[in-house]
Amino acid sequence: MATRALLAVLSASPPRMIRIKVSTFPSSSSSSSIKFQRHITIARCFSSDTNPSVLQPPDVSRLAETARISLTPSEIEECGAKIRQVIDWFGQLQQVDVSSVEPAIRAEMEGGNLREDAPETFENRESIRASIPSFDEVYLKVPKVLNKE
Amino acid sequence: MLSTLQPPRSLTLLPFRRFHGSKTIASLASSSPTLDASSVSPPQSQILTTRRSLLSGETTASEIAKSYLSRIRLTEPQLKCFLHVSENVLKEAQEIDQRISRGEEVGPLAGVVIGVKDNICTEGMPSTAASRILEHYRPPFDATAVKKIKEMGGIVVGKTNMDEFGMGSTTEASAFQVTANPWDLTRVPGGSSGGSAAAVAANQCMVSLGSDTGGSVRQPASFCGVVGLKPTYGRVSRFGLMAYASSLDVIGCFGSTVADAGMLLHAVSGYDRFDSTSSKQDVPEFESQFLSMDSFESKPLKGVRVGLIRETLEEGVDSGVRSATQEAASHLEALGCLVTEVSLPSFSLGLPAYYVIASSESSSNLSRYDGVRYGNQVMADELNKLYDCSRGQGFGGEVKMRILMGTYALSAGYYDAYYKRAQQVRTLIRKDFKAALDHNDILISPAAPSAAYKIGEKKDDPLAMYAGDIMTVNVNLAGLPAIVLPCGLVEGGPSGLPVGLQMIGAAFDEETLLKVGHIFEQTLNGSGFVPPTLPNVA
Amino acid sequence: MSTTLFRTIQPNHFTLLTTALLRTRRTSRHISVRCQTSTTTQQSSSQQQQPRTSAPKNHGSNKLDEILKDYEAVIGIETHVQLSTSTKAFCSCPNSYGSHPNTSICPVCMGLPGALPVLSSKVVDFGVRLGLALNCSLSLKSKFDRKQYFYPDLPKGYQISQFDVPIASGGYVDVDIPLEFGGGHRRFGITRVHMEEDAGKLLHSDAGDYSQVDLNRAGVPLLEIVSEPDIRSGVEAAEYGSEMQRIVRYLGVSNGNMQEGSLRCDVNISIRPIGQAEFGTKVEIKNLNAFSAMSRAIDYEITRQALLYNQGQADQIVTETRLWDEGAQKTVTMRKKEGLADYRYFPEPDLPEVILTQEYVDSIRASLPELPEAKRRRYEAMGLGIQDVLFLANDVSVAEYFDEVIGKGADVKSAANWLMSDIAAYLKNEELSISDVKLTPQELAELIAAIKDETISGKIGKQILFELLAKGGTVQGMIKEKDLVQANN
Repeated sequence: MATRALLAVLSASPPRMIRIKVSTFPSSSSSSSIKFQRHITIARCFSSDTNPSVLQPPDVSRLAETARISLTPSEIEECGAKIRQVIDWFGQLQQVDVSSVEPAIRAEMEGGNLREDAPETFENRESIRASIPSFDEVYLKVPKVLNKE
Repeated sequence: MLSTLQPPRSLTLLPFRRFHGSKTIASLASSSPTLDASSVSPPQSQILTTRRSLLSGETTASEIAKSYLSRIRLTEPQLKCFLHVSENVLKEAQEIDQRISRGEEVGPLAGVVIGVKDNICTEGMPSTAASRILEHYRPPFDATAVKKIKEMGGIVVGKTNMDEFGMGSTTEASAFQVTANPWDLTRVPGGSSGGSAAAVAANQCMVSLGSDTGGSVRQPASFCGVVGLKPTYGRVSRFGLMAYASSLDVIGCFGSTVADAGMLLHAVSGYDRFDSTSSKQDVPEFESQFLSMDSFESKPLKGVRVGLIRETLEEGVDSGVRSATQEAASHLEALGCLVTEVSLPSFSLGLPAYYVIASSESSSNLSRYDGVRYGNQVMADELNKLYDCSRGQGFGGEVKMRILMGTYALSAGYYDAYYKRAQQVRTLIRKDFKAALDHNDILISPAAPSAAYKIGEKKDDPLAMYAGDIMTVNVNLAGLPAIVLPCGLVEGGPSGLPVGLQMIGAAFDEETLLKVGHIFEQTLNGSGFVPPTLPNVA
Repeated sequence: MSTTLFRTIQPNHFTLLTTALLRTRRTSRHISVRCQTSTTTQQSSSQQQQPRTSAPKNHGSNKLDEILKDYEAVIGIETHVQLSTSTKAFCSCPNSYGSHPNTSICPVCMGLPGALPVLSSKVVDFGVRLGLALNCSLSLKSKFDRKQYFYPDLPKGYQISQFDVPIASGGYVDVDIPLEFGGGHRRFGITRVHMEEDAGKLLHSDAGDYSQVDLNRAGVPLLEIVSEPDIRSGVEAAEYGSEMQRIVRYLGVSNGNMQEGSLRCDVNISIRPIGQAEFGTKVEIKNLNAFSAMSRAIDYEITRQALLYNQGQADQIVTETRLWDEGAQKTVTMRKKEGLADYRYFPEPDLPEVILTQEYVDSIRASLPELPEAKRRRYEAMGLGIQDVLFLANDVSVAEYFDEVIGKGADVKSAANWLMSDIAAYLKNEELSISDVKLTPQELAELIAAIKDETISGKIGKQILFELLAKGGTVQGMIKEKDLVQANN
């Protein structure tokens, strides 16, 4: 159930689009897993090619809401025009044939670099607490919140 | 070793070859390298010079520090390179002098006056990334790079101006001030590490740290006529570097010579347990590459294979830049290099792919600036209002724009079309570079399509601004090291404007870049890229 | 098959009648304070109250029973397990429950500018252990992703989690349904197990007009276990949850304490008319801090949804999160979900991929302890009844104690009897756990042997037992000291 929700999530912004995420991460290849990997199959059930023609232009007010940034009406206008211009320009990526190309998360690097499970106390915690804008002796203070959105 | 001792670079105008009114000024490189003494001595490493003069007792760290502080006082009103100047410079210099007088060992950077870009954390010293949202913020820890500098005796002189969070190519996007280009005060120093580049060019500090996400060290180095070194992704710990685009960000180095940039890089490089993307690859002792000119053979770069990237000399590149690059290629040939043209078919795709990745990652990396735990908070009676207003008032226009674009590109239904596709293009770019570097030791290109332009010229045209990054972004996408060093001047400003040559190397092969760069620099006829004296400092 | 069986054997326990509720509630309170043995306690106590009848199909008062003739519930559970590592997941801050607020913090878990996450190897260890214990396939190369949303308990504005390539997936877990709930053996699919970090704690001060944030918990490592929607009732759900608790305790990856929030279950539930292929509208239930509460919440929710179906108001069932209100014994709307949240997941660029070698996986597999299911089957094969089996295997320290006793050659049934009767009663009265008693497994074996070979009588054996439990010592010493050898010797 949860996986279904993860893999095909209805979009809050922009509207009426289905997010489809195909598991194409390198590890999906069967050679790198011990046994049959269930999530691949699940991913495939929900996969389909993204059709660039259904991409909606950005709705700046909604994006600003998602990104928690207040914009003045003039900012929306000015910023909106620029954003649409840049997003249009991003569109050229749709013309590239990348059908068999693995995405690269970053430059090639060795994996691992894990940490030992040995506790250390950060000494300068007082300075961290001193930077908190609204601090109530021991707690950070925020406006009253009831439910997680 | 460099043969002559020299005090910190002269604050006065050094003679250098002037252009003669032609539309483009040819590169300073002559078709045959002048290995004998020319009218101007080749630039000297300030780090080595400082080390020698301190140890010989010729001067003291305090004297050096004072001269830099007074230089900053004199030039800052015009240049505005620094957002903060440290109060501890003299104190730290005195400590070094005391150690020397007691016969104690001092670190390899003892007394070296270093500027640090404002997005690199310095404990107890303001670190704002030139953003209103972090105004007055003082981190509780030093970035690993800063920690290493301090451990080696380096003196952090202050925090340099930049485009807010690294988002920009001119330093105009700083929330606090606009930095001027020391070559022409009406022009931008480049960006986003404009303050660090201009400060080195104007001799306000000996070397400086910047950060390079898509060219933010190399392009300002080119605009300001200094050396800018972007190391391989993972070479320098990012711990303490305020993230813009985590998969692209690297801390880079500025110096007035290749040797200085290389020695600073050596100081800050290496695996760091606080950054799991930092590499465990050995850091070679670069210093041995910085031979003095006397020891050069007649063809010191014999057999070095150099690929000139064809796509970087196509339309959209200023003719002066193009000819300076071609002259630089000839100079390398004269030094013994085998120069051929190479093609990177995916080259032009790098720019949109870069902007998709950078804005997507930034939209996530900047979520932490919410006014709750640090930084400027706009209190409100409702949580979302606190977020909206703290961020709305705390971020500048360019930052907001990139966050919104990134939010769009990562949204459900758009991820595959933008972010994932950009990551796939990154793979193509990586492959193209790999193929080119299989046949070449280094690749060369201009550092930017033009020399420094006027302040305000591209401010309202994002695409025109982004286009200026075409030469550099691909290198970040591939995670490769690159160095930019001045190779010529073009017309503009009171005495011409510098043009930088970019050399790109294989991953973790900074050594070859430094070797080639050093020899190129030392043999460049009439070298010595010192900006004209600032008007009221004459 | 067991589902059908189960459906017909619904004791009163699950009805919404007031009397039943009161009784259930009493039971549950009892359970919630003694979490360690919740399931078995529940079994024994409800058994005392409601001996199983041979004709389990009872009266029309059993609403749920009636409902389940026409509807099928489809239930999946997301379990968050807080790991008992010494440090947080991505920084070296001590992972200690109950510290003074905002003291176990550092630049990383506070999300300060420039701070970077570094994964603890122990988290990977625990992920692999749990993945193997749940019969999952492991991803030899998995990765982390960022799940993005703004909330004051989430310092970075995103949670580091695993999205499309979890460390383990495609497993299952076997459970035994207690006899009083129909008995039988059930297997539930495990969709995935993934690593992630916990958020901080948000406290809502009653007095002030603001909320308070404590970030000590921010960054504490979690494993999230997602089940397949294979669960059909509250009892099955509770048994699934108990088994998760037993497994994490057997593995030593978590203390599994629900009260401290070390083990948290969120339930996804929908119902559909029997025979209908597509799922109904899914509702999420949170705030379940005991398995008994989970069971009752689910049965309440099934009833609520069925009622709406029956009244032709199925459209009133909406995608939402509901909270279990323990006082009112009902679920209440917490928030409606307008469309599904878009978390803008993308690969975490600050962390390299997690790469497992086959060698490493094999070494962890070899180090796994005997798991509850294997223990139950072994005890069963020894000839113990299912009640005994469930009791002994429920608590890992009891099981280990028992194994040691029989390892010393003690008679299996006698050992089980001693543990389940006199020793269990002693522990309960003294509020101790098995690891606190002075009686060593060796001496319990001696005691059983001494009674068996009639060195001492059973009655004297009991006397000695209580002395040994309280003070320790040896059976032989006690016999000599008190001259307790039976006369006929």
